[in-house]
Amino acid sequence: MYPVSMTKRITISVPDDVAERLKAVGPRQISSYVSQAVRQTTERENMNQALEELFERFGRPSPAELDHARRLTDQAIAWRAEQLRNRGSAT
Amino acid sequence: MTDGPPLAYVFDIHPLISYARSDSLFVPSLVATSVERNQYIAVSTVTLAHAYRELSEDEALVLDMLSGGHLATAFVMKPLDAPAARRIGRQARHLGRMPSPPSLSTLHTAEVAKHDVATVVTGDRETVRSLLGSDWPIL
Repeated sequence: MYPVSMTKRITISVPDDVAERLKAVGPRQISSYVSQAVRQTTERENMNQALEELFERFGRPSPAELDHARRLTDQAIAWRAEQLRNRGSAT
Repeated sequence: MTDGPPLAYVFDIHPLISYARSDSLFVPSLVATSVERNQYIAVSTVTLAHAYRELSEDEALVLDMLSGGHLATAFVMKPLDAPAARRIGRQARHLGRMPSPPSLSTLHTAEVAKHDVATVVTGDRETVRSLLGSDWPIL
């Protein structure tokens, strides 16, 4: 949930594929669609920056450590997806 | 089961303490890859309070970064509501007769994991396994 704030009208140029996507979103939804995308990107940038600060402070995991963590995370995601699928098909 | 955000993990107290004390890079690696994969990590608020109780003030400041800074958006805090409090309290009383009874925070972590269907990260696999069953993924 984001606080209600003032709005400003701006003009931007976008590549063809982005323009096509925005066209599909619909003229009345473009502003909220773009705002949400920018907020999500900002959130991600802030999190990545926070992670960088964390690694600078405590040390950076090696590529092997990150690969190991990626495998574990992918397994956790896959296991959860399977469980939810099974529960969905059981009901 | 919840329709909430995608959860890769539920953190028990041990990864929170390990993170705050910078014991290893395993927990930061799990956090980093969860962020990378657009996944969230759930933490019981009982467990969070328990972790703060165990930490020095300097260590607690590190945990503040996780629970209150920009990284906090990667975490979903799971409060203990009244029905869960009743269940967990009864469970704790029952299990309290065991030689090494689980803490309230581990009981709530297990409850969150069960409800939200997520892998548990803990330093006490045996206890969590006894609560969730041998098939449940535990790191």
